[in-house]
Amino acid sequence: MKFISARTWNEEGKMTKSRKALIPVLSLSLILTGISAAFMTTSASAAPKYKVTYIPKNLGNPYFDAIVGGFNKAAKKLNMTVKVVAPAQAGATDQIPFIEAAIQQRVTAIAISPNDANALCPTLKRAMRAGIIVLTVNGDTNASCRQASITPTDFSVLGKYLVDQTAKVMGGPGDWAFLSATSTAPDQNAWLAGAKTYIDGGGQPGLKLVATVYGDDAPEKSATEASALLAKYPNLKAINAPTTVGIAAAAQVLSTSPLKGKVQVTGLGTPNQMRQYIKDGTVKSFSLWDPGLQGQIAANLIVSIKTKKVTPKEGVKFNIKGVGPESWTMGKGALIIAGPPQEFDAKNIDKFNF
Amino acid sequence: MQLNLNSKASILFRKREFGIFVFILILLLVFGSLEPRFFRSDNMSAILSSVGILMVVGAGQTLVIVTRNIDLSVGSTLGVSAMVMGMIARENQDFPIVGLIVISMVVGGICGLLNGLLVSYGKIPAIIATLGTLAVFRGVVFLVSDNVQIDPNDVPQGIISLSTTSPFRIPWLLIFAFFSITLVWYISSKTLFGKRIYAVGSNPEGAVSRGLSFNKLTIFVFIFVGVLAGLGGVLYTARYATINPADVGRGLEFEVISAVVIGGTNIFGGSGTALGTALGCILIGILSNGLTVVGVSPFWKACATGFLILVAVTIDNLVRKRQEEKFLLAIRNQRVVK
Amino acid sequence: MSQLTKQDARFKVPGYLVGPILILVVALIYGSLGSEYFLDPSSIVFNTGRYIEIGLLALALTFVIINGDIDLSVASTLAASAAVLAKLFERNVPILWCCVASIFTGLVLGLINGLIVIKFGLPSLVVTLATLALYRGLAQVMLGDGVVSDYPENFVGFDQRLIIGGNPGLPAPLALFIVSSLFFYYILHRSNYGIKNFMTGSNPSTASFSGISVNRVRLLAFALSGTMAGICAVMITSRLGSTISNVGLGLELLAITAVVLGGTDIFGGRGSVTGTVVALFAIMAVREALVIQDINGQVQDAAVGALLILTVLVPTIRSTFIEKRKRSKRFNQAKSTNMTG
Repeated sequence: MKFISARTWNEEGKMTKSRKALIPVLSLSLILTGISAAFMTTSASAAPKYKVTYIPKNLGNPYFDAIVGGFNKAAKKLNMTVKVVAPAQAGATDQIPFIEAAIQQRVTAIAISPNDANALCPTLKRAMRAGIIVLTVNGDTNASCRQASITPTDFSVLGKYLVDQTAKVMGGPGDWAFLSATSTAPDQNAWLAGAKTYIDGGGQPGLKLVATVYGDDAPEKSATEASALLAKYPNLKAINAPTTVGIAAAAQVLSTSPLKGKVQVTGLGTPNQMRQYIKDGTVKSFSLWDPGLQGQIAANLIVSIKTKKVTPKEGVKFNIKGVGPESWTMGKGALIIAGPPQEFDAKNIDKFNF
Repeated sequence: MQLNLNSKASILFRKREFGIFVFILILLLVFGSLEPRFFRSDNMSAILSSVGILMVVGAGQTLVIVTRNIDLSVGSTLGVSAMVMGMIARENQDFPIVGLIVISMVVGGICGLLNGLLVSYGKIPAIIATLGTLAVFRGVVFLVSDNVQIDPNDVPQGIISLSTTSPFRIPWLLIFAFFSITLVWYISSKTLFGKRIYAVGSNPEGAVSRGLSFNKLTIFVFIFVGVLAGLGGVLYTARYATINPADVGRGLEFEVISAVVIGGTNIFGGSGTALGTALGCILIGILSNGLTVVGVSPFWKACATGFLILVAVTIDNLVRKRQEEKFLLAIRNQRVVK
Repeated sequence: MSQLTKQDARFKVPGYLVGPILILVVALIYGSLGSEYFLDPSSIVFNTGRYIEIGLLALALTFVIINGDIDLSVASTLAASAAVLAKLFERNVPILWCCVASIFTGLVLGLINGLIVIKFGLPSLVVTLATLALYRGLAQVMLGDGVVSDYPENFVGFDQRLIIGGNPGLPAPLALFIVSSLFFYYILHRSNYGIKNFMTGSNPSTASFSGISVNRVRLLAFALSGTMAGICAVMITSRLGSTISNVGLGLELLAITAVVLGGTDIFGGRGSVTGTVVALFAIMAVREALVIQDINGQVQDAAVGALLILTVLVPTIRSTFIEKRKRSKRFNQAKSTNMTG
């Protein structure tokens, strides 16, 4: 039992030398915490009225940065601060610690782009019980876990849109594959299901969907999955990646591969990430929408709900002065759809900056 | 009777690399016959690209493990180097490519220096020190980048072309990989310094007592693997074109250590070759790609890797035990003859 | 010999605990200054579930590491056990039997680890590195890309259940952890097996010459760590309410950090359960204090990593200084006696 035992006091009752070293360390750490506490209290003096925590799927994804931009733009006019926290990976349950932290901090509202439709429900329900407004942005959970949801576009038709988009760049019959995000992502899964329904119902009969793989919204894994698709399916004509991380990765793989131009890449991507692949011919066209609009809607909706101007449920109208259409009508489960998708190609790619 | 141990040992040793080589050939045959597409040129080049980065970092890790240390932070080091280089490239679009490569390697070297200091002068066991720096460096990636990823837009074309263009029909990526392996081979077999590294690994106490500068040696191997990780960062950027602060280099350390171990390097130090590591990397690359091409579910990949490591280490152990037995037997026989 | 079984009457803070206690205290102060809700008892107890899993793994790992071995595969064992649980549940096996199967799987996987290490004489670092991949692969093969998630209501949310009601009450995971800590403490510091553990770790050949069955000691440690992983698999499934193939990814590093932070020597022969427990709470406090400041996960990990390094570094530097000073004192003494002599 060889413990490093050092006695706190020696026989004379005086502190031994080794313990004396602790005193400066302990006092230094107390001083440091005191200083940082002073900083924190001074900055907290200009407390805004509304504190919102936005939790995107994961960190470092420019798509969600665009949503944050929208949030901040609206927050400036609304006396609101928006904190953005997220896990490093888009795992189904990785956002839970951040939701819990937000509950602890008694924020006004939590806006979240969920990584799973059900796994977060117990925690989100706890947040609602604590009086916090819960909104889902860009993707939805089970309707009982949030008060309202904002989706960037009409999810029920996006599946069909993706299949048609693939047909357009393929220019003929052939095999194609989906390169999705995480296997539990509610948004992508809704679109994949919509695509399947469309195909099963006879849509685009010349196209054959040979695989659906998951890149987990991680650039490296997405690239590996894209390469694996190319290796496994020799007759592959197109990869559709309805996630900005996936499409960029697939485009990068193809732009340095001898199959460039023979296998098409399309899907949902941000103009800034995809610009060079349009210019070098790897990608003919892809689509997206304005993610920032969702952020603006969310921020304004939070204030309206908090000030009781709007009660989120089906049929209620909501509008923001000077932003977007005249008004949005909430759909089933208090769903707001921001707008239609926008297609990007060589002709208009330089007009956008996000 | 002269004890011709040297040749016996070297034969057995050479057999190790030869064994991996044979195994690779078997795999190629199996995969190729199951699916002829396996041998297509674009498939082969995909395999080589994926192992290029592994080989560069693995070369460095080999020396670290030979000295009875381990570097768990190589992935994070690669991340920091790539991120710093990427951020500089983003701000200065005309920065010379060579300069960027040098910067990445220097940053990697600095990370390695920290590791080396902690392990040598700080006397922290390498596994703990690098477990800590694994996390610390990743935090640094995040802080330095302010959580903004580097887009393909920001990366200069010169860097990306490293994975495609080539002077002699071999992409630069592979040239760098080949260079790293050759460098480590040269250091370990042709320089006195290299011999010291192996000596320290097989018998740290003995080596120290003979006055080899243990600390300086340790610091060197860590700086070396750090620099190579920095080079790996350049190659990573060339291959993926996106540097995401959370994702870059994640999990690399496991792949690298697996390749090194499969390649015959003993985790307790003292033996291991650059060639073995290179073969280990190629083996992992072929296995991974082959399974996909043949149509095996990708989920079996992890099982296969784990199984391979077990097989490799068991064979190593058996060989080593036989070697010891033969050695002892030879000594006894010599005594008897005398 | 009595030293091994009885503690001295006067309470001493052993040196290895100083680091973790210090970190714990500073983190608590820092956290409570950062937010008035930090020390809110109800939030503390509701957040402990995540860390208890790490703690349980760390407790079992303490044994393995004191032995001189290491088990890198605990998180993968957890994943494979959780996968077994999920798959059986999908086939409508009653949830209780699924849990039993999960724990049993953990035990078996741990035994396999031990058997490979012992029978083939391979270093545990490499074997558990291989099984880290192998077991995670098993989980992936079983679960694929899918999620199993419709567990029964009374099973989910174990971490929110209170053993002793009221505010704050005692949440079930914390209770489980306290019980486990006492159990492990007893085994390690008060039983024969614990003594054998320490001896095997400090000097295996001497230990086996003293008649200790070194192999049995090591095998038991691996089995224990596997079983704990199986138990944690049940806990984590209940807490998350779903099972996915990458469950518990990276937990092994956190568990090892807790063990080493608590003063256990990574090479074996030294350590204590108390250290691991205190270190776990220290890590919990640091991470929660940072979370409340909205510092994100990667920087939190970096902070824990830095603390790990410092905890091992500071005593070494201090003892080097003390050695240098002692040596120079002795040198000066010798010089002065020489001059007079």
